[in-house]
Parts: sequence; C-alpha cells; structure tokens
Amino acid sequence: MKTQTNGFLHGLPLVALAVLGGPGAALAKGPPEDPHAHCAAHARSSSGRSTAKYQVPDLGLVRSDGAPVNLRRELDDGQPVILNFIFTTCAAICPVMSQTFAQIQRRLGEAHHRVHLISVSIDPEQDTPARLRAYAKKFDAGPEWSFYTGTVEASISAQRAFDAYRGDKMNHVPVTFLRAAPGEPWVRLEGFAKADDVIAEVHKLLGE
Amino acid sequence: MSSLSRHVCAVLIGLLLAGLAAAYVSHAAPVVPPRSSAARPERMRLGGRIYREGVLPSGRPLRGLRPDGTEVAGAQAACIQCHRRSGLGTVEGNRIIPPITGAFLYQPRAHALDELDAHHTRGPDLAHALGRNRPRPPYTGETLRRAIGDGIDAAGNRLDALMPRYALDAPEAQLLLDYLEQLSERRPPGVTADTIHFATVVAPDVAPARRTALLDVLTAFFAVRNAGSRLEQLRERSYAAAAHRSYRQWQLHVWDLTGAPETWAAQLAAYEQRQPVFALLSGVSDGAWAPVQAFCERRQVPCWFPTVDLPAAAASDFYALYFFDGVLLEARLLAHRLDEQRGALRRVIEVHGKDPAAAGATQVLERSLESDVRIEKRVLDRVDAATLRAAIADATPDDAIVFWLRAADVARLTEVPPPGGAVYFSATLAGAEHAPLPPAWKIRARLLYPFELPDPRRRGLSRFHGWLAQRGLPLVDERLQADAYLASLLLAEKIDELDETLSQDHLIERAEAILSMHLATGSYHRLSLGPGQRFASKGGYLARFATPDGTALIAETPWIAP
Repeated sequence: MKTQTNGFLHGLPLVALAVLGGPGAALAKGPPEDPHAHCAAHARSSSGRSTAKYQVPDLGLVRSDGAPVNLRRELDDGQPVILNFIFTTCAAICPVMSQTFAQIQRRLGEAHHRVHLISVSIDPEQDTPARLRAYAKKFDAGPEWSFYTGTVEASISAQRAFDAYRGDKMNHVPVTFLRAAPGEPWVRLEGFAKADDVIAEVHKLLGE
Repeated sequence: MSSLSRHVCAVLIGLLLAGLAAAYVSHAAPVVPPRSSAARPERMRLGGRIYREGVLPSGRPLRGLRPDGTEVAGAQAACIQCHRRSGLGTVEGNRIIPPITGAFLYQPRAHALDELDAHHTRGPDLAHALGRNRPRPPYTGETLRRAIGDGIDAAGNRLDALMPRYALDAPEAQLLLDYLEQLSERRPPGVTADTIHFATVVAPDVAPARRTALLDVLTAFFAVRNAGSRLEQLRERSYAAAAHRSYRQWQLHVWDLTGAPETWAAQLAAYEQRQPVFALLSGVSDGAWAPVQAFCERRQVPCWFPTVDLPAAAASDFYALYFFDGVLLEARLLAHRLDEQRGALRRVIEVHGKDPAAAGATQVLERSLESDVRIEKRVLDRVDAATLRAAIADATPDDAIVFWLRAADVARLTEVPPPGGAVYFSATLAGAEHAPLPPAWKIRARLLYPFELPDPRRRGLSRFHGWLAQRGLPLVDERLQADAYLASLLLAEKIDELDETLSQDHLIERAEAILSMHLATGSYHRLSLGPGQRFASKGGYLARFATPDGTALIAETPWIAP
C-alpha cells in the first residue's frame, strides 16, 4: 500500500486501514483533476519552473537570532541558496511551504550542510525574532535554515526584488527560489514545489 | 508451499488480523459514545477536538496525508488550521479555502452566476464570491466521508492539493460530520429579521465628557447607517438579484458599568439578559478592562476595538480585537530604547501610582529588557508634588526615569524640578502631545508614542474630522472619537461582507484576513492583523516636544516595531 512507504498511520492495524479504504488508496489511481481547479494545476510544480536574474538590493534585515544582517551578504555566502517568503501566523500556505523546507533539510542528508535555506517574513512587525525562533522550532529547523524579519519597507523590497510582492500578506502566493552561487541565475518554482523536486534542482545546481 | 500449510498460514493471518482489529476496536470503542441526545454534548466536544486541536478521541493525533506525500499530524492537521473556527473558510493568495459547515456542504453548488437565487445558502461563500465555484451536488454522509478520507468531492473531482486525506475510522468520521453539521448554525444573539443589536461598554472611571463624546460618534454613525431609503426588498424580486443583500437596522445599547471591576461580570450578564447583542462595539475604560474581555470570551461575543489603556487578551483569546496593546506596547518600545543604551545606563526608575495599567506596563518592561540594567519601582500611594519629588530625589543623570502617570498626575510635576537624566512618559496615559507637562519638563521629556505622528495623522484623519464637523460634534478626545469612528466603519464593512451568514466567529476571521488591506488607519501608523493576531498596530516612535510650551512633536526615532 502506498501509504506505508511514508510511515503513515504506523499505529493503525492493517485491517482497520483496509476497512477504511485507506487514505492513499484513491490517490494512486485517482479521478481526473477538475480542469477548473487552478489550485490543482499549481501543484504540478514542474509547469511553474522558470529562471531569472534578480537584482537583490542592498538592504538590512534582522535574523531570528537578533543580528542585523545584509540580505545580499546572507545570500552570497558561497553556498547554494533556497529561499521563500512566509509569515508565522499564516494559516494555509506557509505551513505547507515550511514543511517542505523541513523535508528538504531532512532528505538532503549530508548535502544539507552545503545548502542554505532562507525564509523571509512578509509580516515583519508581527514576526519578531522571538516569534521566528518559535516558528523555526515548530518545524525543526536546523542551523542551515535561517529566518529573517526587519522593517515593513525592507521586507517589501526583498519581495519586490524576487517579483513576489502581492500587495498584502494575505494575497501572497507559494513560490520557491534557488540559486547555485552568487552571479548565477535564480530558478523560480511557482506553486507548492515538492521537496523531491527542489532536491532534484539542488543536485542539478551542485552539478551532481 | 503445500495446500495445508497455505491453509494454516491463511488461518493464522486471519486470526492475527482479527486480533489486531479487535485490539484496535476495543481501544477506540469506549471513548466515542454512540449517537443519542444524551451523548450529544460529549460527542460535540470530541468532534470539536478533532476539528480544532487535531486530537482524536483516543488522545492520538489526527493524521492526514497530502497528495504530494506530505504528512500532517495534530494541530497542523486540524481542520481549523485552514477552514478557521467558523468553518466558513478564507482566501489566502490564490488559494480558496471553502466553507465546510453543514449548511454549505449539504446543498448543491453551481457556477457562481447560477447561484444568485434564494435557493442557496447565502453568505461568505468565498469560492462563489470570486466566481470560482466548482459545481457539485450536495454532499451526503457517504460522499463527505470520501472527501475527508480520499480527497474526492461530491462531483467526483479531486480536492485541492492543500487538503489532506485523513485517516479516521467510522466512529471518528461520524463525530466530525456531526460537528460540521452544526458548525456556525447557532442563530447569533442580538439578530432579528430586521435588527442587529450592538452594545458599547463604558467603564465607571471615564469622565462624563469623554463618555458623551464617544456616544455621540456612535449614535451619529448608527443614524447615518440606518437612514436613507433601502430597496433591498425590491432588489430581491428584480433581475439584479446580485445586488440584493439583506438589510437590518443597527441598534446601539449603552452598557454603563459601575463600581469595582469584580462586580462587572454580573452587570454585563444582566445587560445581556435584557438584550443580547451580536458584538460589543468600541467602548472605553481608563483602567480595568479584563472583566469585559472575559465576558466576550465566555459568551463568544466579539469585542470590537475598544479604546483601553490595558488590553487583557491572553494568547488563546479569540473574541477581542484591539487597535494596539496600549501601555504594554509602550513598555516594549521603552525596553527597545533602553537596550540600545545598555552600558551607558545605571538604573531605570519607574514611577507610578496605584494604577493597573502602570503595573501592567512595569511587568512587561521587566520582561522585555534584555540588558541587565537595574530596575527600581517607586509605587506611590498618593501622587502629589511631595511624593513625586521624593520618588526621584536620588536620580542621577545616568538614570532613566519613566513615569507611568495619567494626565492629572503629570500636571502635579509643576512644583517638581526635573532631574538631569532622560525622562520618559506614556503617551497613552498622559494624553500624548497634550500631556500637561510644565515647560521645564517638556524640554527633557520623551514620549513613548504608539500613534502616528501628529502631522501625518491629521492628514489621515481629515475625513473623520470633516465627518465630525458636518454633524456639529465637538472634538473632545481625538483618539477616542477616531477609534470609535474607525471601529464603526470597519464593523459596517465586515457585517456587509457576512451577508446572511451572520457568524460572530467569522466576523473576527474577516477582520483578521482583510484588515491589513484597509486604507484608513485612524490614529495609527499602520493597521494589520492576521490569523490569531489581536493587536492591529504594532509599533511606535520615541518623540520629544519641539518647543517647551507647544504640542508639536519631533520623532527621535524612526518607526519601531519592538
């Protein structure tokens, strides 16, 4: 059964699962997606892949440990970078994106030391460094995954630099960015990028 | 393998599976009471736990699996995470989280334009509102269980990729279905076919002139709202059914509190018994507010942006929204400032009288300060020139003094010479730039200023001032009156959005979701809420007076959100 490979429902006896039909049972075959369901369309992350050169401005942010930092320098630390925009009270989109980052970190295995994950808050006045630390803990973020806040203006500048600013945090859309090294183009993954797709991109970036 | 051994194996496996099933059933069965009217409260509690906390009756976490293979469990898997407490859903970016209350699930959905008739449950059906309805027949118990378990909707289409497929056994699924069926179905209090009742609470410590100023704004707003010819009934019968929306007169009740805060709960209960209300709108206190906040939580009544110095929202509270968290925000601003000066500072001296707001501020200051500077509290039984002078007698230029004093007490500094070091005042308590500080003090004073600065604020409030003047109402207390005006505007906007689904929970959720897009910011620099956020303005300035005898201010810092 498909679900077992994910360690899903490990406490539930097989019989009960069989009786229920199993949550994954229908997924394997599954009915056609509704053509009107744009959301489902976004889930096919490969369709939202593009590359772009973004000019990251010279702007100051505050890392979740309270340290004032420069975004460009944080990005240009020599490692491949994976970046997203989140806010800690976000109900639907960000928890999924952060969970994906957590999976990426876990699944990268040894390679995770060579990749820098960056989450920038789009609700910086609410997301104080302390709240970002609590959020990081909730998703078991390791030292390679850092969180940033700052002024509203700085957060907007960062979002604009990546063409991710949508006017209001409640208008935001899921999007993930990757870059191999300073000067290289950014890979932009529109929609809910799957952890394995992002990892495949990382391996590509690392030339593996 | 011989046929015998195959047979034995099959029997053994059968026994093993039966045993496992029995173990599972015997574990789960006793905790879910069967459906009966007697068991309903317990079943609702258990269903509510699945919905809100992601906890199954067995105490195990609710588990779900997204189509991409991501597992969610516990609170992260709870329905409330996306569909919100009301079950009426939300919109986040390009994702529509549809309503999942029984009223919506058990009736058909068509394309948006076909739904503009009286046969559909009206309300904030967000997919509908955005013209992105996915047509489907009404759910049945069976198709709903399939949606929850397999992610297939009533029309046979896959649900959104965000929606986990949940592992629930039959009794657990039935608990959840029963919970959804009644969700947001409660007829809200204070709502009749033609009227919505609201109340505003006035604490006993509020001066009569301020009480009148507040009530004048609210009364005038209600009068304008209720005036004019309303043609909704006609529109309903016309082709332009899209323009139809129900219309109810707003009625304001004034809940004046008297006596000690310990007696307020009983007073509020008595007021409510006389006339239940849909929400408490605005309201004012110069001291305690916790009993009012507790009433709102207990009775699940929205507490809509009162003007108070010491909001009392706990992290888990849902029903109270504030423009900002009063002196507590000021205390965090001060902590931020003092931390910047760490090393150069010998002591922080806090001076205040017997005032709960001041006591609250001192606690937050202590908690927020990162530097280990010494804090000394000088709590005065009586605030007068002599006690104030004594309180700061030993202050040196290396000490920072913060006065958590109200305007009347600030005025008593006339006979007290200012100390040599930095002195801070609470703008909220002392009356902001109108604080009655003597000139010698004004030169030294720094205001903890959680408002927009006077010039831009005046520009932002020009519409409010015009509205006030048009109605011949005097400007008595700008913050209080502008708060009441903005609270009323926001309420009108959100109530109209709710349309026929007048859910108190969803009123709060609408404010959480949309407030940051609002252009009117009243007395504040920026207003923004989000899911679970209760204080809309999150920062302030440190400001000083431009002259020793005027009210003009100069910001000493940029906007700080501590």
